[in-house]
Amino acid sequence: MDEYSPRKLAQALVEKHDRLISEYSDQVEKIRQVTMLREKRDQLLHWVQENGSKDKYQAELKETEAELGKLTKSFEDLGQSHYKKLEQQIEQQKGAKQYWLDKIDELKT
Amino acid sequence: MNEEEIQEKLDEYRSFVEENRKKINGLISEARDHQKDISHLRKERDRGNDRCKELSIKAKQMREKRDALNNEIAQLKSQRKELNDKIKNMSSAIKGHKEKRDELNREARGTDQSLVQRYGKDMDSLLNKDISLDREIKLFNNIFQLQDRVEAAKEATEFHKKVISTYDGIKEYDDLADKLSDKIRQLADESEKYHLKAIEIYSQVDKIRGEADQCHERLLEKYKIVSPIRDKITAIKKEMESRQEKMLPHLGQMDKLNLGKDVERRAQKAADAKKKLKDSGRISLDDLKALMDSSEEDKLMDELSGESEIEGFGGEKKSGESLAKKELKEPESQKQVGAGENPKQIVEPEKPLELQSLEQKESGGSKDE
Repeated sequence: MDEYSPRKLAQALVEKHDRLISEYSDQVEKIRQVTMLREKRDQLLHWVQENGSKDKYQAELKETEAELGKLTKSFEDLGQSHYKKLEQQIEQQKGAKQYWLDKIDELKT
Repeated sequence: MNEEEIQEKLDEYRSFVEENRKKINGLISEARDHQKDISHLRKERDRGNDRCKELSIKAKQMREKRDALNNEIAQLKSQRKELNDKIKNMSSAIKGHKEKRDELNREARGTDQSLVQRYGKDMDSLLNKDISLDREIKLFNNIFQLQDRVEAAKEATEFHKKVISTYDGIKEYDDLADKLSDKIRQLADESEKYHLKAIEIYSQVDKIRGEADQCHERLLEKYKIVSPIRDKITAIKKEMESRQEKMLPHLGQMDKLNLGKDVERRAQKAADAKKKLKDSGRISLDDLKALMDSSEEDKLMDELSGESEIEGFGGEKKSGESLAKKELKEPESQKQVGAGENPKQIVEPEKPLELQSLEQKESGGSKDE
């Protein structure tokens, strides 16, 4: 059983929150990319269907769909509510991190 | 004094001697009867005393064996006491350890295993799970209490281990103490046997000593009885000696008279032999002896007529009185019984010589008593 001093434990908590912030931020970034690629795909699809220059947009649409497919494979898209929730969690993690940083300062004294 | 008067005196003395001899014989006979009892009682008493000594030695041996065993028991008891003291101290230590353990258990409120498990779970939640800040703060605060509780639980476990190991030590000492107790019981039983045997022997000794003491008491009583008898014999003998002293002159005179008569008789015999020889020219051997002795007769006649002393054989001179005295002299053996001597030494005195002398003169020969 590893024993922690309060300061050491507080530092470990800061590290945990950094880790979670990073993790959640990655997820948020991925969701942003997926959203952006989906919008791009929809636009290209529209251009392919509405405009005559099919080949030019068709190739780009393929690339976008491939990239989207690859990206959606790496995480589960839980929708916009999840995106919002993640952003909240990041904020909470940041708040908690700050609490523990303050605690470390407090424990120093 | 003429011969008749002397004879009268001697007869008187003779009857006195006879009377006292009977008395002495009676007393000696009485003393002998008591002496048999004395001898028997002394033998019984001495046998009892010897038996007492023999049994006392045996009892002493029993006592010594008992004491040796008791010493051994005392040593073993001392060893057992040391063990019991250790056990007592260890029991006190156990009590202290238990109190401490229980206090720590109350503090820990759980086993170290469960607490460590819970600590790990809480730490995992705290450091790996996304939980609310409030929950983090709560866990953060609790985790240190948990650390203290785990520490208390570990200490409690250590105290518990000490309690167990001390119990094991106590059990070991208990086993040793039990073995010592068994040995003590065994030796005590053996010691008791020797003790009872000694008591039994002492009881026998008391009984035998009592009997020996009784014999001794009876012996003393017998001595009391015999002592006056001895005194009586001594008194009678003294009286006889006194009378004897008085009779010595008369005996001397009578000896002289008898000797004169004897010489006359032999002279007559020699004269008869001479006449016989002259008449018949023959003589018997007895007559010849009478003639040969006749030369001595003259000398004897001279001595009897004028001198107060008689020439004895081998040139030794003895007065008539001294010869008679010698005759009357009491044997040494008769003087053995005296005051202060052991009554068992009382022996029947031989018949006094004066008595023998008189009897011989009376009967003309010796009388074997």
